[in-house]
Amino acid sequence: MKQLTINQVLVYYDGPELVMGTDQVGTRHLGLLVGQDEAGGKYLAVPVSIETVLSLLAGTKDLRAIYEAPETGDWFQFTLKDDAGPVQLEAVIGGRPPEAWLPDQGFAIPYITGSDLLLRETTERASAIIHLSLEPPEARQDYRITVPHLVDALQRFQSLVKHAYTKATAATRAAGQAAAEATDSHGLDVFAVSEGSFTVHMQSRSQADLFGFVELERALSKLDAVVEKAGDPEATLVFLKENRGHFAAAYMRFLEFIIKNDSPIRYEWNAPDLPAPVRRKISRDQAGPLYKLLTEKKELTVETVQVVGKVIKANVPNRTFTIATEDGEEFPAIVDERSQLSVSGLVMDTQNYRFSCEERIEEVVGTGRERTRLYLLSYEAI
Amino acid sequence: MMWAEDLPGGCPPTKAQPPNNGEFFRLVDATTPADRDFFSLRKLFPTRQFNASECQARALSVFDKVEECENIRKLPSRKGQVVIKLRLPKEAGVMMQTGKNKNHFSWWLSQGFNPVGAVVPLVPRSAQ
Repeated sequence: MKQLTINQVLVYYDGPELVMGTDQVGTRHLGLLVGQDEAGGKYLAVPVSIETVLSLLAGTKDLRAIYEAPETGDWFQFTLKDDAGPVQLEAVIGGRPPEAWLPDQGFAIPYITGSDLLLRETTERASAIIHLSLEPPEARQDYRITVPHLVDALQRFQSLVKHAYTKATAATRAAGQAAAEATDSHGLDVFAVSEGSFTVHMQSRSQADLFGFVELERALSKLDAVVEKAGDPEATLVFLKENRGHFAAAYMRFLEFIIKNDSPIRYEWNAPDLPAPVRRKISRDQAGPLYKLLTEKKELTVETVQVVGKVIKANVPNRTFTIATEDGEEFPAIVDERSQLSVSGLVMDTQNYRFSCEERIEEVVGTGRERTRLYLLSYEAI
Repeated sequence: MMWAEDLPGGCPPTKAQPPNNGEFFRLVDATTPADRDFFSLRKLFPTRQFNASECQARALSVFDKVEECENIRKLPSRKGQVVIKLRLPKEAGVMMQTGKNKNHFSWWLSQGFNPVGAVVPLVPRSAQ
């Protein structure tokens, strides 16, 4: 039995009107809404190649033509019961769909395509797609980049995106609403490279929902908001004061890469639900004054957090201890060097405390991985 | 602001703004619109599960260009529907552009607002 996993909505009006999905062997199908009731939406489906889909989106192929004469000569139908699972494809009774199930001629899907390659990749992969272009000296005359430059750039960019996501979703979490905290929400995977500086093609690890929204968009929108001010250091400072902490620190590390490696950067990104791609860039001339101003403001990178829990381990000479929260998480911590506090004053295992800490991110040398450490500033018994 | 339908937490999105007397276009079943023409998909099918955003499922689709509605009428599920024009004051609720079509807006209707009363005459383009 053929099954289809729906992964994109191409046309939406009150609900999904035209969708796209793939079957178990990866063949794409278009699904066109022909009716609906309490059981779900009823769709007419035809197999299509990616070239046909892109022609449809570009306006060079008519939707009716695709449905009147499908590429494989087959029509199917399915009911979208909205339970997130695959749908069962059934052959259309009588072999051909009735006229009432076909669209009129001339239906247009008015997408702004921007870079055709970006649109193709967004449509093919049903994910957010980022093209990150690096231009260190070696890439200006030749299509190459040193391994350290490439690795450093990608690690700093991923770190920036991760902290942008955390910052962008902080308010949602504070309101008690669930936010996707798993790495998939801000994780990036490289899938191709191309010329035009040295351009790395990345996709979001998480896929788009049925409406085309990808969690990563929250991070990229936050990143766009700071990068669009790259030409105005004072405006950037104001923005980062409102977004201080790890995000500000990661942005400064990214600027440091641009300056240290003489490598301006450009990026463009798109997601299935966006009307147009977003493009930003930071030149070396912009990065210098920005970095100078931001690094003078030490308080920008300070991220303070509160942790409520009991002390389960302590080492007085090392000034270290471990906090266990009510939901079972454990946080290693150290008394901040500026503090007069002592670990010996803490009651183990039975007393709940509210700890106010500075959360510092430290890079594990040689790995590019980040490790978070809590530095105790104050505490109160509760 | 209170809403015509129960909305999940975080809905409508904070980016959504009141329409402020803007003109929008929507498809309805008959020349004389009825309340049901302004029911969201969730309200029309209360027991269906939606595997995408519940917030989106409780919004109404409108366009800011009449041609976009006329385009959607070419689809099989919309054939025979009629295009109407709405002038929406800020009391109508909030809305924001959603999806790939920059002329498409999702509208979360406010409680107590009568959308049928916001319908204004639509001059056919042949008569303009």
